[in-house]
Amino acid sequence: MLQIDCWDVAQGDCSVIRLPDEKLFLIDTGDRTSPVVSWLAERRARIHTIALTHNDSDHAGALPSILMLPNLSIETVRMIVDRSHDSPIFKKIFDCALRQHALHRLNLDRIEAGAKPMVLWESDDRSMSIKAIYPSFVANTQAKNANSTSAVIALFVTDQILAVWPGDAPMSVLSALLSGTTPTLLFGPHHGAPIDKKHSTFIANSDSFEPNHVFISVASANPYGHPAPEYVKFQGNRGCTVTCSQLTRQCDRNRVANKQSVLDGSMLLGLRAPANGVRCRGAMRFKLQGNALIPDEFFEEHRKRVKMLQRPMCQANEEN
Amino acid sequence: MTLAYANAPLISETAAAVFNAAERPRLASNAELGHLKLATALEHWHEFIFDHNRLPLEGGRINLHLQSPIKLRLDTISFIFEVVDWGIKVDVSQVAELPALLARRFLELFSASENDALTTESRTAYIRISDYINFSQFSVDRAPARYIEGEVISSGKTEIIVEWHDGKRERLRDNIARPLSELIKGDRFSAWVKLNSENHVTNIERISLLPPLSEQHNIVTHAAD
Repeated sequence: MLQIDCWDVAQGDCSVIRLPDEKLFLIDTGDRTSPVVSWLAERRARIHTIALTHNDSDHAGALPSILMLPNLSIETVRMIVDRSHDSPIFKKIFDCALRQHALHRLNLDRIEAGAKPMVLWESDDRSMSIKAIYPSFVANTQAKNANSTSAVIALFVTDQILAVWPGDAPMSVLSALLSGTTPTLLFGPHHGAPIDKKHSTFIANSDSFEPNHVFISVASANPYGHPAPEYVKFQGNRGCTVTCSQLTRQCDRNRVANKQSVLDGSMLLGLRAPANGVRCRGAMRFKLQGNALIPDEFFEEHRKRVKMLQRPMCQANEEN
Repeated sequence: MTLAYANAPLISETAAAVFNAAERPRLASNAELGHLKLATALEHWHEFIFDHNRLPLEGGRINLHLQSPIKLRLDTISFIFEVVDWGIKVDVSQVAELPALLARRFLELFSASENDALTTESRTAYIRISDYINFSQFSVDRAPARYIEGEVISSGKTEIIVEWHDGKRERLRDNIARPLSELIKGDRFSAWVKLNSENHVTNIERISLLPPLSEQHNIVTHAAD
């Protein structure tokens, strides 16, 4: 069975997919303090791939810590080249991976979708696959900044897109890739504040595809005002279920001040929690049953509890 | 740590409360409301607050921090303590075992959740218990040391500033900085570090010097070619 764990890594992204053969597929790692490192340290896991949507430290900062865990076998690290080779952060985050690659301990490869999506993993019967659908070489080289060339990775089941990890990609890119589709699960993008949210075409772009669930990985104390209320309310008003890993002051100032979690999904799912923040949902799990992704058994309890918040943005449709 | 725990008073005025419980007057509020049936039932119960906010785990090596007070209900007829929401009942004579029983209950459910083996019943119980546990602190306390790379930015007698591989800088002082005392400005190193609940480094060990930053980044840019 395939299972997706959407981790609470505070302000950052990390998903762990358990493949049918029990190998793990990581999409982003969270930052240097990511709790996924401690969780991985306690098990003898085989990692098929660590795919990084882009190389910001909140998405890739824990890479060296994971690569050096002695109990893991890691086959491949896939990444985007999204900034100058001379960028010190780029060099420092990947120096460990380069050394491991030079010692033939793992494969290091670029994510680059061509005319067809790049297959990152495929089940034996080819009914399921994880593919990079963006960026192409041209899109990557022409991108204005690291966020706009963020890789977009998707889980396909019988040729239908069920889950999408866009990293920090703008909504215009997602619209071009996903228009007309109804993925079950969409991550973010960009911690619930798409970078083109003020663009005149933002609503039209967001409206061009209809996710059932949006999972937003965000820290209670982030200084950026993530997630963007207009984005969360937009998705909520069209019937999409929006779930944030951590509670922000926009939804309940008092609970954040008093550090009162809504539900600690990281604990309930047997994962690990980040040191900081107040959980709204914490981690969340989806399981593939047949051709459908089903949220975990704590989903209803969380929805029930969210209604008790002061101003839950994700419940906007019920207020109206 | 464990011994100290066992000898400490577990519940506020436990002994007095237990032995005086039967003589306590009926709860006035219930009588005033005329809830006679309820009052009759309630007079056999007395509630206490568990006096500790942490439970020792792994022989006291780490603690399970509680973020809400645990309520105990004493049946004054049977002299059985019930831990509200935790599904634990214990005879009053065994009340000293309560910290261990609470810790064991948490471990049972946590292990089941790790193995995806929670039943419908245990899942409901675990949700209730999760409201009492500071799981972030538990995650931090339980976490093993993690590998990290850094560069010494400045080095003094009692203080070292390092820049970690993600570009964040941290000022390390005194005992925490001491393991890096042989390093000089500009040295790149790897180490295994423990982090605290503020994500600051609290312990550094297994230090190695790293070679200058690799010039092999072409591998990355041309690996797919």
